[in-house]
Amino acid sequence: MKKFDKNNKILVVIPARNEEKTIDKVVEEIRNLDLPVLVVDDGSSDGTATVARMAGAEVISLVHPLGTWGALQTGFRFAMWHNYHVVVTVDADGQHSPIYLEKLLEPVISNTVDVTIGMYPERLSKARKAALFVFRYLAGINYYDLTSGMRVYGPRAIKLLSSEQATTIDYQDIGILLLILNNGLNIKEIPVTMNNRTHGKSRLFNSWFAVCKYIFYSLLLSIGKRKILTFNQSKEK
Amino acid sequence: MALYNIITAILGLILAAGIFILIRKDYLHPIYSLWWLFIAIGALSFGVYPKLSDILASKLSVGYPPILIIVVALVLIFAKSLIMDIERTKNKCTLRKLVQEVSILKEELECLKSQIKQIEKK
Repeated sequence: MKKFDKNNKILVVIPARNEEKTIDKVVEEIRNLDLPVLVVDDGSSDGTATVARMAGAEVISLVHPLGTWGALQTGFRFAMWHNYHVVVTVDADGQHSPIYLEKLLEPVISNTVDVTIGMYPERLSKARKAALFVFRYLAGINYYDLTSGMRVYGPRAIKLLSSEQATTIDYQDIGILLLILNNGLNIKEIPVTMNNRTHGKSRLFNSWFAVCKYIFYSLLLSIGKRKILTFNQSKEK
Repeated sequence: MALYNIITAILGLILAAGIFILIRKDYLHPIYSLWWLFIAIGALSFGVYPKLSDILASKLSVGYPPILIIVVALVLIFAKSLIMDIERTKNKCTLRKLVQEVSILKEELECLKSQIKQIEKK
């Protein structure tokens, strides 16, 4: 597999909570590409931090759990402090294969786009697809895999997402995409395939309460922060 | 002085005194104490002079004077809870940033400590 140029200053950020069974393999696969890995441990009660460190990652253990986006933003802030130009985010459950990183990194490194998203909507259930269709329509955006955690962010996106403006957001998907688009940055979806989760369950959809909270929150964000069209864009429409 | 006058005056005085004590004992931040000072003065004024609501209601053409106090109180409660939610959002944002930065600094401190240990061993 291709190793990446260190001059590009790429950092791979993995938010993790109770993922000791899968995190080592995920870290090792990325370390084999010669990329630095930062695992942000979001209040795990198992050995996630130790296992990740043993596998070669730098680990930041949050002093108070902040959820997936809070953990990811810690990674963005770390990247800003250490002058990384590109941040790659992948899940800790082993669903994202690093073989697609080259494909996702290329447009960001060449400054063609600010953010790339690994798109694999086939993994979504019919109910989730229907919900995302509604959010897409309400938010006025045309991206298919809004919940994909496999993304690459360029320098402008890193600066924006480590700002206080992004701190009020709770989830990595619609809120973050709308923030990026409303600030004039561009996003490209790139088709990938993802593996099935082998251990644990999704943090986003781990209970009916969490699902309802997510739907309500996303509906509010989709309507309230709908993509702002400039005068020229609205005339073109 | 009618009995209801005495009761409203006592209630107004108790509320005002309670708020003044809280402000003096620093249980309330000076910014919040301004709001509560305003409430205490209002409670004291309407408690001691209940006729005040009749005078204000007639000036504002409100037919049923007691409703004026209720409406004003509701508006103030609504405004206060809105301000509190704005404050909570700001605090949540600050807290998240603090947690993130303290966590990063903690990790960097650990790294520095282990580097110092390695240098000392050499």
